[in-house]
Amino acid sequence: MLKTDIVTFAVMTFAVIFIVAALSFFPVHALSTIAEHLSL
Amino acid sequence: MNNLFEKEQVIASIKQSFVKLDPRQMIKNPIMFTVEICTAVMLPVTIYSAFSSEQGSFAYNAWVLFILFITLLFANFAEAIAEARGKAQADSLRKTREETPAKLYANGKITIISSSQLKKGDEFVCEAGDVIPADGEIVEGLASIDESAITGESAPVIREAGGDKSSVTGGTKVLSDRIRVVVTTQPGESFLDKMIALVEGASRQKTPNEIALTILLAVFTLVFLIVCITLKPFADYTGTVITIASFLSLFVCLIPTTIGGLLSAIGIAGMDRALRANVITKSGKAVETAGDVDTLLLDKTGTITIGNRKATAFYPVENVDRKQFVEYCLLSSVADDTPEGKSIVELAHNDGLTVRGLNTQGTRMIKFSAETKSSGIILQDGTEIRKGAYDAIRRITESAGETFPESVMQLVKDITSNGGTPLVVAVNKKVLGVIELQDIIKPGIRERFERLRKMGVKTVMVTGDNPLTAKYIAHMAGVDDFIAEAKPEDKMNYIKAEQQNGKLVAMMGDGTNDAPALAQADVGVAMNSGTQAAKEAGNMVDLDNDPTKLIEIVEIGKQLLMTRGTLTTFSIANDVAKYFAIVPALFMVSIPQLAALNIMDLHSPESAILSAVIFNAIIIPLLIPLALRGVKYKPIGASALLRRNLLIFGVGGVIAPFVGIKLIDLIIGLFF
Repeated sequence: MLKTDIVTFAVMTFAVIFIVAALSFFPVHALSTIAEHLSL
Repeated sequence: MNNLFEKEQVIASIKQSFVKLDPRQMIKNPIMFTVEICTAVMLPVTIYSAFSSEQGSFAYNAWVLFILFITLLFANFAEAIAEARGKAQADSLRKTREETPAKLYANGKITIISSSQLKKGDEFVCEAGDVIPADGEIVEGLASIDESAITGESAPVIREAGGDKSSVTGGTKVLSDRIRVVVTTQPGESFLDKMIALVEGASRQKTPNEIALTILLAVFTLVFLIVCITLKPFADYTGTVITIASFLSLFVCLIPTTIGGLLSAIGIAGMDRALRANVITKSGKAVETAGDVDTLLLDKTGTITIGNRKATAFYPVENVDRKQFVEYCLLSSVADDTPEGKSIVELAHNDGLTVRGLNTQGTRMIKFSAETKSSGIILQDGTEIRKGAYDAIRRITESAGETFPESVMQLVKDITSNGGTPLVVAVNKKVLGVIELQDIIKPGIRERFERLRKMGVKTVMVTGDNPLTAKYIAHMAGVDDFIAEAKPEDKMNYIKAEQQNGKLVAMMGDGTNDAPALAQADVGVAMNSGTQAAKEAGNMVDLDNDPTKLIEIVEIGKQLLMTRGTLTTFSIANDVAKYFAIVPALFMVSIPQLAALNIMDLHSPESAILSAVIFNAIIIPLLIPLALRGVKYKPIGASALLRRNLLIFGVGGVIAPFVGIKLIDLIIGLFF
């Protein structure tokens, strides 16, 4: 049985949420915030 | 097994890859279906680009179209090759049941017809040398049968009418005697035929796990569709022009095509691996469930112990000469051809006594009977030696007016609590001593249970022995729990209790009385030698009749689930690198500062996008061997396994495409 109260599982869950969210917003960020940051 | 790609299979699969392009088939796989739509859109765009430079160069468009098309073919090829391998395996089994003459028995007359003309309920006769034409159940007679064509086991087996050993399998050969058999399956409906239909895809249904994953992947696809569509107004605002080809490339790279393309191949390969282990599964679901099994019910006899008890020690009563006692034991077993009797002869050999050194002239055997629960021999001089169960011998001695010694009672108790079976020996109705019989635990079985424990699977031993013996053997073999003095309903109750605690239970059985429990268990493996009822009730049939097969089935199931999980992780993790290839490429022309995001230092915007799409396509065939063989399973515990796989397929999945895309770009850079 896989334990869900261990560091590995926590890291994995966080990584999945982070990466999926990042994938969803990265193109738009590239055009707006990131582009602005790089242009300054 | 070692040869993943047979030449003919590859050729057939390549043909199938094109046939599978049919949208009616593609729609079953939503991810690859979206890729097909993208490809269809690219076709007019490419033609248009030949006349106008608005959508980028013709070469660029043509390349994108070509790669998208190849991606589809790769995904179809993965499924086709998995099917072809399963089919080849099934065909080799089916060969054994090709046309054979059958001796149809009707109204006492025998007519010879072809096996394919046999219908359910027909009776046929088989004599020594005949190949059994169809699956059936013996209604009359007894025969020894060579089942090596199906099981690979060369030792012949005995099958007889009535009881649990009455079923015969088509394709096996009768070696002796004559049997009358009633056909139990309609031609084309035997387990093998069902199985073949299953791997051939005709009746293959998605398993619950596959459906869940498909939904998840479809949601991902939807999310990325929204990402791509919303990008258009943003790009317009900044004055960037993105070609349709670039848009579609971005979209196809982002959606999880890797797992989408390999998903069905993984499922088919799982069933195929089970078939290679000589286990026929009635559904893909059963294999999958096996991977999640928490509790394993195993019969003691044949699974944990070798099945025959062996004599391990002689215990003469005090004042009885050991040599004399052993000689009596040997004498009583000379004509006893049961495995127990043979083992007594073997053990006596250690004491320096052999059958040859005995005077066995004029002796008379007393056969074992259920009534007397003992057997023995009467010597020429009238000496009667009997050996048997404790209560039987006690009855004999006490009815003869002799007392049953207290020390023997103690011996019997000690042997029983050590997991042994005492065999009391009496000469002329006077108890002389006890022979200890022990169940021999199969070599290596302890390690297998250890492996199961590491997998997190609880093992339960089921035995008809008394609780003391059962406890001892359970301890010796290293099982977690046991059911002693088990009746069929005990198994059933145990399974139900476990299931109520949310556990998945697997069991193996062969008898008709096992059928309800087999049906109740989440994974019920019936032995091929078992009764028709057992085979109908279970959801898998083991052709080898090997009780330890359950352990392999659990591993195959786990491997299947893990392969699916790891490739999904890999597929999504790949997206990170693809973004770093495509996004800077899309906007670098209008916003030059974004070149800072081009961390891979790719040659040009067009080569960057092409590299990403090419990587996306070729990763599918590169992973086909892994999908077919399955991710290697190591029994190191769920958490350790998760960590290991996350490291390889998660972190590896992020890094690999950076390397891959850069390499492809270096090659493309030479041409653009």
